[in-house]
Amino acid sequence: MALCRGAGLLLRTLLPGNPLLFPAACRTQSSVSGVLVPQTSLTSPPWPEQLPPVCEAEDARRQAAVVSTVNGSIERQDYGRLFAVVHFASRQWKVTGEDLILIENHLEAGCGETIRMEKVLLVGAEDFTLVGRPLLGRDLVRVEATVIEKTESWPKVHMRFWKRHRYQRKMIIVQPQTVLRINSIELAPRLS
Amino acid sequence: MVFLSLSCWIRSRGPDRYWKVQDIVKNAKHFRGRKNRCYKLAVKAVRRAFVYATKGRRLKKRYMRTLWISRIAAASREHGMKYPVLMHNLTKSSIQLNRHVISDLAITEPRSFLSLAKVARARQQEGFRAALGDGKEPVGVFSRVVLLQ
Amino acid sequence: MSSFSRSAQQWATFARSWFLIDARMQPPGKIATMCAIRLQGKHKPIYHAMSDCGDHIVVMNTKQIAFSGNKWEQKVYSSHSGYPGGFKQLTAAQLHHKDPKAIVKLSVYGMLPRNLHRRTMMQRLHIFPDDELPDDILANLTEELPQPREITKQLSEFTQEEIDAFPRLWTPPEYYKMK
Repeated sequence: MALCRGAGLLLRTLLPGNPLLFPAACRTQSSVSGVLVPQTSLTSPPWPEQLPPVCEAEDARRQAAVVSTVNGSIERQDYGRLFAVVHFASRQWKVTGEDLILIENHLEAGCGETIRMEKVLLVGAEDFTLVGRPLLGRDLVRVEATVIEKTESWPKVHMRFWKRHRYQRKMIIVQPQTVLRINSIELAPRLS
Repeated sequence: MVFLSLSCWIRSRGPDRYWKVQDIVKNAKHFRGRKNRCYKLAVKAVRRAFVYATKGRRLKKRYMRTLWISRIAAASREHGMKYPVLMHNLTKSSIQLNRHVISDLAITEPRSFLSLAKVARARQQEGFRAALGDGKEPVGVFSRVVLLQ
Repeated sequence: MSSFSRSAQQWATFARSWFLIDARMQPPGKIATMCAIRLQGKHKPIYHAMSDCGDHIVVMNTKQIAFSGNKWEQKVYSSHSGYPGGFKQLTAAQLHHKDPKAIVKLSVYGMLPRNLHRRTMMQRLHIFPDDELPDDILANLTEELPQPREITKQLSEFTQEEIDAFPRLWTPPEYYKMK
């Protein structure tokens, strides 16, 4: 039986696209002409049928227009207040000017020193958003911060306990913390 | 214990056991019932509380992530897109914003989130176009669609 | 931003909107998922389980919900009063006959999280068996949600020509008696 079925499959693969291979399946008994195939998951693809057409010249023109508009708005500095998403201390922070951020780690820079955050993922203004893929260029955006305070976290108790196993460990964790103040987010009209 | 003077207290601070007990009980001052004054009960309750706090510090990260995901899902549904579609296409276009930031953007910067959604949509269309090719069946593949044609 | 506009923003953010769903010829489970999402506030980016940001939902025409398959006869709603012999079982058809709001209400209740907010959220669900809504609810409505399933045409709505033109699996012979 299995052999039979395999042979049938082979036959069909050898002659694709021939609907009259099995004439019994095409009896003209039904009273209606037209497509009689029932709707299955294969009759229509799972994506929308009509994908919008792509025109590369049109796309390039639009992109140039957007870039020039944003560059002009950056040059005139009429973007209002900026916010930025920076990757710092292994997490991402959404910051704006005059923000305070608390970092759960020690920093090399001393108190009062200004540092520059170089991993900027996104800068947003009122009318435009610059999204980095993954990062924005160093000459495009400049985010500066000042180290304000270096402290320690409150003592966190790390306790492990297994019942009936005489197992109990207690550890006090105190982590160094650093407070930063975001001074400025500056944009340069270097978008390309 | 009665300390008549500071110098006396410094010289003799009382038995060690007293301070050991106080060390535990001070953590249970705000507990309810006899747990906040009886050492035998307090020591168990404090231990349980510390273990919960330790586990909770890990769980908090997990719960926050689910919260961000449900928020992003809600926001992306507003733009007619499902959450997995949005995130997958953002990663495909190498935008490495994490879920925390994206959910923040969805709440406070809806226009930036809309632009992210548009990027993801464009990437999705691009992927569909690449996968579809010219709309014909690939060579050497046999399917029901071919049989019907 | 001044404090006045800030508070207005807060009020606007947490304002409750009222959704209307027409349950005519719709599967109750699909209606219930739509309701449960909006009652919890899971359709808003500000969602938090504790922040009580759910909306109101008005479901009308629950008398005309449509179960698929043999659920009207075979789906059983059980309850136990706690007393001996207090176990009651009703099929969906019996329950619907007794109370046309019950099936939708029970399915939404089952889809909400099992916590103390469940009853509060259920209070924001307004079910009506017919399409006659009270005026105070009509005045609140903000949006009508699209129905999850297309209403198919009933056999009585087809013309005789369309019925004749429908494809047949086989042509019955003349001596065949239709039951």
